[in-house]
Amino acid sequence: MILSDAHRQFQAKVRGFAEKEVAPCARDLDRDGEFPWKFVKRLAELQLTAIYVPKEYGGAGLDTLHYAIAVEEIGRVCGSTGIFLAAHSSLGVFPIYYAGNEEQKQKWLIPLAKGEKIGSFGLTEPEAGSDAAATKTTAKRDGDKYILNGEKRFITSGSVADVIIVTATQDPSKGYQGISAFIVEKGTPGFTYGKDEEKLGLHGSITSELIFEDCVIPANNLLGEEGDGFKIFMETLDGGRISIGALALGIGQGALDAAVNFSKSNNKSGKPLSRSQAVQSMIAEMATDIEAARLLVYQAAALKDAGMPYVKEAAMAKYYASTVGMKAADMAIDIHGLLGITDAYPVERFIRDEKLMEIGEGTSEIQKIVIARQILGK
Amino acid sequence: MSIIKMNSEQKLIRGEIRKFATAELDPIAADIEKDCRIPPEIVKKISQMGLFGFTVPEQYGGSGLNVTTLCVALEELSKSCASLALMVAVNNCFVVRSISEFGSPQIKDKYLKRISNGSIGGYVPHTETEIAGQEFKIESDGGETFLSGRSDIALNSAAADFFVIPALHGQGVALYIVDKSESFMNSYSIRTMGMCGAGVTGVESKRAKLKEEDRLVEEAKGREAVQFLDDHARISFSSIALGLNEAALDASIKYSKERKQFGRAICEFPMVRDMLSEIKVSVERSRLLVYEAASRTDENEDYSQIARMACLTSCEGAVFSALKAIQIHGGYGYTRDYPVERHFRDAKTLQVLGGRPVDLKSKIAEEILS
Repeated sequence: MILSDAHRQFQAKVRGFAEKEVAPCARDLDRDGEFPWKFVKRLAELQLTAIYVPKEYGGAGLDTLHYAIAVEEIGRVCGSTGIFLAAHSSLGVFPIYYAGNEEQKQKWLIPLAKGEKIGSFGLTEPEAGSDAAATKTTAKRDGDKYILNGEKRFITSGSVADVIIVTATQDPSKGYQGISAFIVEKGTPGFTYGKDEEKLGLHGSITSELIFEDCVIPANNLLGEEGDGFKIFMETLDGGRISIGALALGIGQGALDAAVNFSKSNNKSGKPLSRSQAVQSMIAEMATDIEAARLLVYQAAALKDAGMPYVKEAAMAKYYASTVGMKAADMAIDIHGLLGITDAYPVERFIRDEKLMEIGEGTSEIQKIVIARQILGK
Repeated sequence: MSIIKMNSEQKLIRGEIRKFATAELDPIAADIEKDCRIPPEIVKKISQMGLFGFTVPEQYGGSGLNVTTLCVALEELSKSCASLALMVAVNNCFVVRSISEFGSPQIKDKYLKRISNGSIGGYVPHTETEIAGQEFKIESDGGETFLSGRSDIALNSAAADFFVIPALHGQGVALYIVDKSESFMNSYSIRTMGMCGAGVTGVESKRAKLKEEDRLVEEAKGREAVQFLDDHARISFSSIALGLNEAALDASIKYSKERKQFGRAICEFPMVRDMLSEIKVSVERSRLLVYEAASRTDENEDYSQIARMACLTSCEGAVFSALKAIQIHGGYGYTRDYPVERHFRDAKTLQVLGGRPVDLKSKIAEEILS
């Protein structure tokens, strides 16, 4: 896909930031499991925290394609910073932008969009993963309040977020129709945190357990109407898939970059590794796969921007980009050889980070079901 | 009837190792990962069980067991702790094997006995296709011989008190035994993705003096010797991969039966069953090649080709199975609460240590075409 001048200039700007500021810290963020606070601030300064949100609500007033490009470029050097950006923009900001009333937008969307506050999305539960509609967290209406009870798990940026969109059911017997979405602020009494997960990768990203014990929130914190929760989270995840697809693409591209760079080194016989046909074959395969993934990701974003159906394309983009990204990261390790399994080079980090892209915001298996349903009908 | 038959001794050893692993290793698996080391008392117990000197001939105080029996032990050990299995494999297949194959009677007497008494040896991999700058060189100066250089990857290096080192010497490669000393020591500049308990670190030599009597292989024959040792070690590496493959299968079967989504156990979903069956096929395919390679070695047949195929299949299979196992476990699989993310890191690390798939394939092709 040929990018417009505006998109290309934007890409160059984000790439410059990613390469100059983020890349040098990526290894340490992973090694020390440090949340990238300094980049949260810089992303806000560069107006990257809500790229597709209109300026009147604190965003950059650009489109989804700009957003996908930004996540790709950050992910190319640091998966942890990339997933922070994707989770904040797609999961924290989007539900309020999509379903919030004017008062809610003024109060929460603007500071989130400006990056003054961190947003997160509490959907997954210990017993409700792929089966997100099986939510057990309950919301009980009590006059002008709701009382939340339950537990959320695997919540990206959960324990550092200022504002979390939490799904809960008012009537478990109604299944997905009983689910509503609520805005919960950090520090609300009755809202505490369990442990942060120790993970295979994305060590600089925080993944939290959220615990609600008689957590009382004002009725005004309901997003949309009661029972809108399912619609809101499905819409949120549809868009979120574009950003995870973009992140998977970025990490895959990062692995390719590293492999190309490394293959310029000489082997013990004094010949560049790139002289080997086997290495050339792997580089060609990786580059082709990643280019195809880029087309799918950009296409899904462009369809969304054009107001056209994009659910199938977003699922395809996420599924494909994460699959080929894993393959590319694996090949990149093989090209590096013994040093590829060490943290002296970034490729082992890329494969650990990339694996989440096949799981988070809908596993590859769920993406296949989404795609098949779009093609075959329900 | 299965073509793989275990004799009573092998069954006994497998049972003992399973008992030990369940009692001593499984409870501390998470600590081993966190501390990046296996507690010395565990290593000592394994040593007392005779595993580090498993293949040392009985005349030097070892157990004198064959490669098939070693593979049985490694497979079982690897299911619980691949790092420990790797340490045992390196000691037996690189260190013991290089000494018993190439060592002078004096070297054998000295070092094999040391191993039988609980000493662990290290090995520095030497691959021509690796990048330059990661090797050792031998220089002669005034009638004395010195070793210089560094490698970021040395096997068993944290636990070893001596190393077998292939080093460039003139146009060739010579193999020497070097003791740890002030001029030959560990460097800790890197961390490996997996096998974190195995003590794979760097080693560095600042003009360590080499003793002529500690030379294992002269420079003209070193490349061939390295190839021989690599192929030999590959059989044991593939049995470790087989163990990882099985561990991923066991964890996945258990989890997919317990985990319920959409009102039923996830093992009832066709996409999960598909993954489970693929992992199982990988286990069985690997097992056939691993034990075929091991038994050819024990029967003194040519095994280099089958060893490479076993390693290629078994390691690729272990990586594949661990990734599928993580996928079956979903978000939980991505965390350290379940063993499958470790299986993946261990499997990928092992695969690269056993030889990159491209290199193995090119060697297999070379041999079938010659």
